[in-house]
Amino acid sequence: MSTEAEDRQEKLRLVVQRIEGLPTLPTILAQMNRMMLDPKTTAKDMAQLIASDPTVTARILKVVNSAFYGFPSRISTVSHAIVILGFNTVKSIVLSATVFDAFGDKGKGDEGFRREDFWRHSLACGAASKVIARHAGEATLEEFFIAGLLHDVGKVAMDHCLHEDFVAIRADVKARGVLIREAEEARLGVNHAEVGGWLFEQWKLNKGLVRAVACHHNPVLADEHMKAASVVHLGDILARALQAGSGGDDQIPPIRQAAWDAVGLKPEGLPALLRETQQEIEKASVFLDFIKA
Amino acid sequence: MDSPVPIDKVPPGSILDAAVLDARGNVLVGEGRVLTEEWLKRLQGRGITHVRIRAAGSAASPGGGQAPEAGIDKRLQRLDAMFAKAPQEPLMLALAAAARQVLSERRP
Repeated sequence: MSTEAEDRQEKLRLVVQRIEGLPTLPTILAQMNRMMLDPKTTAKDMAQLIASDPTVTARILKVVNSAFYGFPSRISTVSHAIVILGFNTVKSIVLSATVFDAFGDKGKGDEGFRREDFWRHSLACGAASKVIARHAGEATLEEFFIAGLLHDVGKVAMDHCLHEDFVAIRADVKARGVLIREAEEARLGVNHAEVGGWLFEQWKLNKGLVRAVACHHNPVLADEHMKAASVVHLGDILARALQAGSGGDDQIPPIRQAAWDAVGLKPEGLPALLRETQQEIEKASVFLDFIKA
Repeated sequence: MDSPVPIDKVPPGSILDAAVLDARGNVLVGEGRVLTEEWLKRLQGRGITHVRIRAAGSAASPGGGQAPEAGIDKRLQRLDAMFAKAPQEPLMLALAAAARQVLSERRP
């Protein structure tokens, strides 16, 4: 690790030390993680665990029966959902519900950082990431959607736990017209992507998701997960260009050439990508119900 | 394509019919951009005296065409502001043009 990376890591450590009251890994996710490591775990075992939480059960069934998946017939049990979608996808739905529960509308969400706008931007980034991943020939589209949906979790974590700093950061964004990432780095020495990655690492989520979140502003740092981080990097920028919600600043950051090259898109395909993203946002809007539930 | 119009006569909201280049041939603003007041000032500040426009802004009635819907106009103005600090590189110009195209298709 280079000296600069060590310095960055130390700054991150100092910032997260100040974070108090950050939600710990929800029990149900911890149990799901453990069960998924056991090759003997069956869909029935997992369904029994999920059934112990009626709210989570209802949310899974709502999502699997929404236009997002578009199955022709109704899925009425979690075990059926697991058989069709797989453990990872169901776990991703539980993770999204968990994050929305922790930070959905319970933060300080004031006028300058409205939660609904924030989650709309997040949803659009998820939708764009899914579309980009599809064009890039990736198979696990839902994982890209979730990475995009949760890419800015560090912002709500900071607003939740370092509220005064976050208010000052937003004031700086307004006064200097900088990107929120730049204002965060100026004040704290780290940015929301790194904080989000750190949180997900604490939650023992998969490395691909952790690196995609942590490096979505600088995908080359994601090493073997650079393509995933690049997809989310581009998804964030496409979501901004479509003006879907707001992530706390109102600018289009530059596309990193290395990220563009890693995904292998063509500039002439951009209008089609944006149109498909608009359609995907409509289909995925069921996730916004999580913050209203 | 119409003749170039003196930039101080261009009403805000007009749409560029051709990219504006600086003396070195770098693109300052791409074709299709809505010229907000801010953009007009910035171009004047860069020494641009004339531009070609496709549709005049709301300050002057567009030649026989329909005025764009207010919602779309606002989105395009916001888009210009969002791209104002973005580097004028081919990829970013392509993204701006694509977003402008797609947002123009949307209805409020």
